[in-house]
Amino acid sequence: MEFTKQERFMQLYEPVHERFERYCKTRVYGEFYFKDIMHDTLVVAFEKFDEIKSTDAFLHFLFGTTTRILANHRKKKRPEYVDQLKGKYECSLNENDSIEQQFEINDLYKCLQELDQVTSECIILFEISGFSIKEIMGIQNSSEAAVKQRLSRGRKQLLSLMKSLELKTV
Amino acid sequence: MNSEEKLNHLFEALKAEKASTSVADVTSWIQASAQVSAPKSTSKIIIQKNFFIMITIVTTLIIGGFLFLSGNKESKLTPQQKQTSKEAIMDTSTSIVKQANQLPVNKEFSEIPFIQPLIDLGIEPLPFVEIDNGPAITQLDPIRSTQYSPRTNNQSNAGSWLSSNDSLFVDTLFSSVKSLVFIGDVCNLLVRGSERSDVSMKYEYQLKAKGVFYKKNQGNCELSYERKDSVLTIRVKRKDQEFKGVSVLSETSILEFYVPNNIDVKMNSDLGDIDVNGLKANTTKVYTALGDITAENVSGNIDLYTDLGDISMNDLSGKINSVTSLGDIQGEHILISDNSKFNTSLGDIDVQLRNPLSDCSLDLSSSLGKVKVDRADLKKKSSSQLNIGNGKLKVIMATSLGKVIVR
Repeated sequence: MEFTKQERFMQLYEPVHERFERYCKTRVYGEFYFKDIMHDTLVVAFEKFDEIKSTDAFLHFLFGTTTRILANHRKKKRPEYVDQLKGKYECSLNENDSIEQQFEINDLYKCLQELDQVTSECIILFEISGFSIKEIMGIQNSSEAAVKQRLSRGRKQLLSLMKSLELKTV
Repeated sequence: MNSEEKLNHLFEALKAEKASTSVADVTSWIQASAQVSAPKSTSKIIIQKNFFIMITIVTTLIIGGFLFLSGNKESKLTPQQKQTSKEAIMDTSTSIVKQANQLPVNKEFSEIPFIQPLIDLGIEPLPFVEIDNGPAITQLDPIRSTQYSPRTNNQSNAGSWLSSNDSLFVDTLFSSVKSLVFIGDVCNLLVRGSERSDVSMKYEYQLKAKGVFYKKNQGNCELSYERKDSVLTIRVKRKDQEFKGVSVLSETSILEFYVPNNIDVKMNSDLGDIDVNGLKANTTKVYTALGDITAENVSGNIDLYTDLGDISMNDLSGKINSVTSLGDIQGEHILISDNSKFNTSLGDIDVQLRNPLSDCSLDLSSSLGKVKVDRADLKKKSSSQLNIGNGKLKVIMATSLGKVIVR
């Protein structure tokens, strides 16, 4: 029995749906509405799905598409408009969290934005989306050592940023 | 709790967060996108953009040139024509004003079976004396006139009214009309549909001047009608006035029609807004070169054209062609029953369609703007072109510089 294009796509996508949403939510925090990015990414990914030679490359393909779409959106927006947008979509926090935790998560999101793109992406994929190092290697097309280095450096930078943010608040 | 633990705790909290979208949502997005065909190639888009920009520039130049060159057309009347106009104007005096029903009316005119002139004479007589070619006079009040000047020719199916002292008021009825045509240069038009058998027409023209001046011509506005095979043609012609001196002018020209159902309406105005409301006509064609068009509660074949102006539509149904060169197109509660078109060169298009998307074949394009479908059953956007659905009803919405939104 032969599966349709949509069925094949969904078979690969369904297991990573929740992780992908968490990634989008964190990645675009404060800049765009995450559902827009998800929608655009999935539509484009589905359209170009036939171009993937191997199903192993699906994650790399999906997250690579997100990165390109995000870069495209940022390029189209004028700088002053991006500044206006910042903070507009800071509403994706979980309502069940305590107010204090919501503020902390908000700070964490902001600190993640301060990191360089690859490091930030690596941290989000590992710590928030829950992908394994091996999967991240595939997504980022990097070696294991490079991924581990990014995670280590990223955490250190995050801690430092969060401390300085706390000091500012105090 | 140290920073490291706190960070881990936050990561855990985020990791445990449940997704707010479902796989079903994703499936619906993908299915919707599958209906959308691939956009045109880049070269085609570039050619299209240049084409639209060129068309826009050419249209603007033509309109500008036309307006510039057609400024003093009416002042080139022959002396004989001017003499005829003057003879047709009847003198007004206070006694006549008070006895409106005893005004002398041309016998031939009064015998026309389908026209019943209603004379509006409730205004004061002239407050000043005017001398042709005389010295300048000071005039502080706006010109007021009571003159009603019917003038008919020998044929029973045509006639006209001339303004006197810069005013003209006409209120009349036409019966057995199947098609109403208006041709005029400066006029705000209102066409209202109603449950009636005849066409009611009300016209008000008034030119007010303040300042120190004198003028040569009288009867600067002419309203005429012609009836041929149930086709009633109304024309408004305004002649340029020669004011010598210093003056401030304000001109009012409003023509109002009340028409029965199922007649064809064609309006063609060079300058002025057009408002059509409640028409259940077979054909409604509206054109104005400079002015906005408002259409509300109209059904049938509807053509709305303006060169420089906005088009506003509400509760329309039928085959709709809505075209403007420089202006926005706004539509609410639009129900399409045949292939339709909404075009603007420089402006936005925002239309709320009542038809289900499955019935439509949408061709949306913007050369330098965005295209968006924002409906409950489909949300889709693009930076240049969208082709959605394979329904029977083809709907084209195109703009060169602006947004296209279908709701």
